[in-house]
Amino acid sequence: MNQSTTHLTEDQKERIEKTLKRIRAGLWSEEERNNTTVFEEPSHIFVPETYDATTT
Amino acid sequence: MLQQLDTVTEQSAALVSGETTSSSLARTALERAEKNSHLNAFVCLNPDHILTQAQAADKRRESGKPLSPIDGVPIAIKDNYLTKDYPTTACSGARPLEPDNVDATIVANLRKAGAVIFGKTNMHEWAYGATNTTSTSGPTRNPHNPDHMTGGSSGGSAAAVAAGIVAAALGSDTGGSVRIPSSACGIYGFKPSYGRASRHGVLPLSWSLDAPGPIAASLNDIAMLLPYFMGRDDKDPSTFRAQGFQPIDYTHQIKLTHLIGAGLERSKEVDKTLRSVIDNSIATVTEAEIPNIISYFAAWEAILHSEASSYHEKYLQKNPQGFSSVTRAHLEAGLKLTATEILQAQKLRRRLLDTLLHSFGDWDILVLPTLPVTAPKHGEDWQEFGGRRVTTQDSMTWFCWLGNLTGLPCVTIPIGRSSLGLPIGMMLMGKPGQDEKLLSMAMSLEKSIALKE
Repeated sequence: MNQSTTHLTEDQKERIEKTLKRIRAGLWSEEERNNTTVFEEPSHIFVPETYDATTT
Repeated sequence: MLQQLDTVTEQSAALVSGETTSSSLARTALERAEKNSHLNAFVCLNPDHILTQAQAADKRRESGKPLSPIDGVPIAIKDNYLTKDYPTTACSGARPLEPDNVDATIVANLRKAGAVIFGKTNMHEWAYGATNTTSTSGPTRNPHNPDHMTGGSSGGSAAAVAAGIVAAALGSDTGGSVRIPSSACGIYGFKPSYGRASRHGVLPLSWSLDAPGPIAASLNDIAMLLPYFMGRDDKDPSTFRAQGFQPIDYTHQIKLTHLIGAGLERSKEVDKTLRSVIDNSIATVTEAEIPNIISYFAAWEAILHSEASSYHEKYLQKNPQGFSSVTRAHLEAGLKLTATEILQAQKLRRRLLDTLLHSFGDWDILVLPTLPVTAPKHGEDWQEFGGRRVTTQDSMTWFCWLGNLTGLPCVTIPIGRSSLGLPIGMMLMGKPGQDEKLLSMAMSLEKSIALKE
């Protein structure tokens, strides 16, 4: 699901556009593209043993 | 403002000595809530229910069987913690008005300890904002000056403590929502390390950023309350390896690293106050800059909006008008982020943590102001400081998001007042999982500051 729900106002459409523009500019900034480290794997939070609890 | 017997520590001692009763504390709190109703700190209060709980606590104490040191102490609950006895709306029109018949783990822990569950506090809708101006119950007002905001999203909890209605309250923190209002209202707030405090029953904003935390009138109170937050909870997988709170007394030299530079600007008044405090403290101080901070902030925003949108997708489909206009726009933006973008954000999250932990030499505490400005006035949409002009919303989370993206423990303590008499706070960030050490160091620093004053 990556489609908008119903009937957004012009103000909301503008806010969404600005928010996405800001996020994407940061995620893929020139400095970020040139930044290489050994830590290339994303941060993960999935720990299977976590779910081996009767009350979960 | 705060008065005698306004800390949990004092109330607990007075209950033990027989100087006061829980019923007396509850009645005083109700009177103060009434007197301060203009602050709009509470969205739900039931005096009869509060007094019934207090009377039960008094009976336990009279029979020599108090449940804990906080048995009979009134504690307010942010309106995103599920409670059996009150509805939980997150101050949104999208939530039902009936109680959920279940307590959040932390509420259950407090109830088991005999605390008097003292109503639900006002908050920014769904905790999705840091001003506390968007709420189905209307905005909260700052006890230091009602024309100013409390900050949020735990603004009602902070206002209730700062006004001396209750000595402590619960908050939750995804980008600073415990620390921001605590700082703006001149009190204390603690965000535990991610994975040490149970999120079970706290309505989510962003699963991997959320942390529940206490708001209180002193650091000793924070230490009294953290045992009810921390430790393994089988209902919250993030706490799988969590240790319970084990207080320590850290007596070594404290090494502070003051974070400065691009993206971490603050007003001259805030900067001067912070520098004066840390330069005159017992700690050694170095400075460091975070390179490319704009990318890390984007990572926090991407994770926040995408996780919030995932949680709220069903509500959005069923009842889009149940959200305020701005909250809905945030959620819709989250729906449009791609999987690749979210994974890039997670890569950046790891890189930021690596930078903080390994690029700044040997540090015990990273220090920043909690806010770059003092509490904004109601109606102000923009803030200007350090050559920046940013929205009031962004000014509130300006520093605090760093603690959520990295999961580090954080505490805010009041360090002074502005020329207008508004509080200024200092944020201390510790190493992951070292919450007890952070709290102990914060206590030492505060003592050294107080002694010099």
